[in-house]
Amino acid sequence: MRLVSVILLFTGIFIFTAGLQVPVKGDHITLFPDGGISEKYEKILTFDLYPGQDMEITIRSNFTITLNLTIQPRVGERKLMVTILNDVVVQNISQGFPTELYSFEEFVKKIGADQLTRLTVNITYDPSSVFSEDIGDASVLFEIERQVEVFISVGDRSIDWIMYVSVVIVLSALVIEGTSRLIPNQKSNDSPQKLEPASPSDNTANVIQLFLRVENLDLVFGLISLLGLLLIYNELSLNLYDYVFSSQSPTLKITEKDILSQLALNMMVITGFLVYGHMDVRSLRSYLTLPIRRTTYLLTSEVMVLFRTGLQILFYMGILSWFTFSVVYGVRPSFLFPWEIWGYLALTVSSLYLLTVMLGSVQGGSLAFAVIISLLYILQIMQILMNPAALGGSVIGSVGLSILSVLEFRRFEL
Amino acid sequence: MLIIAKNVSFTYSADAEVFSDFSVELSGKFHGLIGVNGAGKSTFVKLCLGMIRADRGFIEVNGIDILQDRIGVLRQVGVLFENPQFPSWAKVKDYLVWVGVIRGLDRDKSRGQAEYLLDRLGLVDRRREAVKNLSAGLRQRFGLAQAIIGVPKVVILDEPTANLDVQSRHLVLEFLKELSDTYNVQIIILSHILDDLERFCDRVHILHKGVIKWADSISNLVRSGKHRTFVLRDFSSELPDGVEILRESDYEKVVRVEDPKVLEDLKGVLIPYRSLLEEKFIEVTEGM
Repeated sequence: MRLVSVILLFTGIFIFTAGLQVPVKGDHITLFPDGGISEKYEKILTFDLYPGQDMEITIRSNFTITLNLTIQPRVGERKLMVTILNDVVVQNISQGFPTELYSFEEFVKKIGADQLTRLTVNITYDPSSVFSEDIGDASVLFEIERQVEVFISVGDRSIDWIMYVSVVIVLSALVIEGTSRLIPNQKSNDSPQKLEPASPSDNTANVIQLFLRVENLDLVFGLISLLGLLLIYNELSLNLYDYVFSSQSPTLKITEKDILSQLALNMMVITGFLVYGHMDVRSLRSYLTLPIRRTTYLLTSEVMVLFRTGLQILFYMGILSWFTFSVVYGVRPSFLFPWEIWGYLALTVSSLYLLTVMLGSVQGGSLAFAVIISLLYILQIMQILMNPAALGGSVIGSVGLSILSVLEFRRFEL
Repeated sequence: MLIIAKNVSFTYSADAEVFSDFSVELSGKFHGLIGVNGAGKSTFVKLCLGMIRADRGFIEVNGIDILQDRIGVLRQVGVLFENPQFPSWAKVKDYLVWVGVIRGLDRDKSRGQAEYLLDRLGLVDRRREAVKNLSAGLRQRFGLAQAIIGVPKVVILDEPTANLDVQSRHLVLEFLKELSDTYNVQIIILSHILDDLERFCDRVHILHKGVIKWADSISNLVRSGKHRTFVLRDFSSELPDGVEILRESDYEKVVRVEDPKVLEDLKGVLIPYRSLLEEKFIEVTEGM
């Protein structure tokens, strides 16, 4: 049963990631490859668009980038998603459109996204435009250099059904796994063997191997979670930095930064409480009576289990935020690096797995608890979305929620 | 020799000295170590396992110096502590198999022995459950199984029959006796249930305030020991001289009788109030 669920799970993940990666063409552009900032730079990227394809352009820059968009006759329905974080001006439009200055939004509105069949992005950097603004200080320029990021991807709508299929497969795996945990199979294929003395030997490798087998998926997903954590926190720190130190519009707009800041805070609080609440030093005594070397002990100890559990719960909360962003609220994370997707994917899978563990391995009460916690967190995020001033109150609410989580998780001892 | 301790001193803190120049030699197949709470029994076991380190002295388990080769000692010893705690991740059979592998069994043998122990100790229907979800009695039996799997040469059990009902207690003790007889496992039991020790142990040490106050075989105790405290049910007649009343109620009198002649006279109405070992224990520790 477990084998089936594991195979299904990984098949689903594979298809999901394949769906994300294969049909997408994109490029991450770094200006000033040689480190020089005083010379002109130009790079032209061309993408052919096919019927049914979507296009997503994400640009973050603090100076002008020229986008040269070639328009062909309409050949099919198309969806265009654009995320612009800074001022980007479309300067040159070919194929019969007047050469005017449009903002990108205006441009898209004017021509209609479904008429784009070829996209040519002409990225030009002219140092005179920078120096003309009298910001010739080298350190400022260095900051500018670091902030230029362009990511353009052209995707295929067939991703949608691939995603649906993969989600169905993953969910099937989770249901199978959860069901098998709800109704534990008490039968055993092992036949009893009379006792006989063991031959004491150095069996560190066996011990670790067996521990990994016992911990199996939990540990694997814990490690995947760790990867996701690193990727996400990298981006979170950038967002937090921007939010705190960069100049903001006088009108406070709710952005992903606000949501992520809030979630980051929640996660940190929850993790802290969990680490504190889950510690059970007494059980460590059982290890001290076993002939395990200290290195093996570290690899298999409660500390590691605690670490893994903390990570999983952290990501359980993370998946709620991701779900809220992409499904409820409809916001696509504006991360500019393709590998950020992997972070979110890791987060998603490990969190879903944790959810399954919760559903399957603990008593019914905690199922209700999981649902309640989920709803509370979603409500909290929605509250911030609707009323930014509620941020402070929401933080207090998060602390309360976290305490509740700790009490409950301790009770059910995930 | 099972365990040899020589000139061992140990203090938890400046005003909590447990052992001072303590020496003992434990041998025998089924050994009992008894003492009042705080006598130092559990501390002694921890010292023997290298969980704590003696300030001075030397401890050897089955010929291995604990300070020289802790792992070597632990490979030969199975332990069950009072109120055992196990890792939160532990499931009944998985953990047993794991401990078996740690002791040097290959995985198949470990699984087979785990299955056997679960069957013998009445845990076979709980094999996939988390240990933390077991009741106190079942956890006690599980603790015994993890101490035994792989058949270590020495098994140290701290209150192995605590939390067990009468049937389970007998099941466990009979199994331990069988283990000792069949596999030549040397067993040390720390317990307050002295009746059990008197019935199953072949040798007992009484530890009091960090000192061995008495040590002998149960067979010697039975030969030379005598009951001194009795319950007197039928006391309508006048009690003879030499009977000291320790406690009385409307239903019974608890009396002490030392004089053999008086004992002979009252034969038939006196019921031993304590087991011989309990008498000895009270005698050794009373007033100390």
